[in-house]
Amino acid sequence: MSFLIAAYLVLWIGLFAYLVRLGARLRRVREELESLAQQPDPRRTQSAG
Amino acid sequence: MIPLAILTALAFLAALGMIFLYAPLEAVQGIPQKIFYIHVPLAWSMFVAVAVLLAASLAFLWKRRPANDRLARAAADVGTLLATLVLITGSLWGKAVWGAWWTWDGRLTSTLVLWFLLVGYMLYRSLAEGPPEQTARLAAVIGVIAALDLPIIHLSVQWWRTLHPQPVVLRAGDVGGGLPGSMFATLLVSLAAFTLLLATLILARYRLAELEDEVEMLWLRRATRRGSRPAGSAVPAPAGLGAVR
Repeated sequence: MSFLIAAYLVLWIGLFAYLVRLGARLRRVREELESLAQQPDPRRTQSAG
Repeated sequence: MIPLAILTALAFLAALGMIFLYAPLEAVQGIPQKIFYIHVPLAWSMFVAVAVLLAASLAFLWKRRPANDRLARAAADVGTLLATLVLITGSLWGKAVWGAWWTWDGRLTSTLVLWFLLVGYMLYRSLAEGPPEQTARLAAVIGVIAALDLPIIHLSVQWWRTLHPQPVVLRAGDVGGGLPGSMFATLLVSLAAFTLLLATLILARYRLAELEDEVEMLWLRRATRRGSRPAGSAVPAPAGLGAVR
């Protein structure tokens, strides 16, 4: 019985840990993308200056 | 993406219900045999993930399209997770039934070799410092080499005398014939749930790879003027930027 519980626990912990990590990485990359999109392009800034 | 995730969750609920409420208790192994309903679908999903890695790697080597490289990255990442879970659930089942956590048996050893190859692929992708195109090309070659292990894993129980049981589901000319009907039906539902899970995970991981590539492109465009980017970027630095992570 304990092996069955351990196997199912490993499955769910593994899957949820992966999903949480994936979600966190997606959020960080989206945030970086947004902040990059908001920053002015240095080439344009320099040519304007 | 969200409808697929909901469908996956529903399929898992159905599978768990069938595993614990419908499938009969196996006479010899008893309760630990129910590990079968997650171990076999995990192994199946791992096979499919590595097959996707193979197809995407070959397509990238042929066409050099970034989308194929992203798909290969996603499949390898998810495949590594699945291979890890296959090895752990197999080890737990082995301890319950054989009395041993591990044995250097053909099926187990070839699966461990695949796990090392996938981990090697992921390590290479995260640590490589060459031009992105070259990194992707060599990673595709590693992906193809990893996939060469699939037929070895599948045929290992026929090639060598092993402790691992012979196939009971995919037997030539008798698919599912080694199982009672209720067990086979439960296994099919579980296989469907894990296949949906695989599709969901690969799609989500592919989306992450797409966003990472967008960030990398933005940095590459700006890098020619600015030189480097700040520490703590969520995306690995593109080659040649001298950036700090």
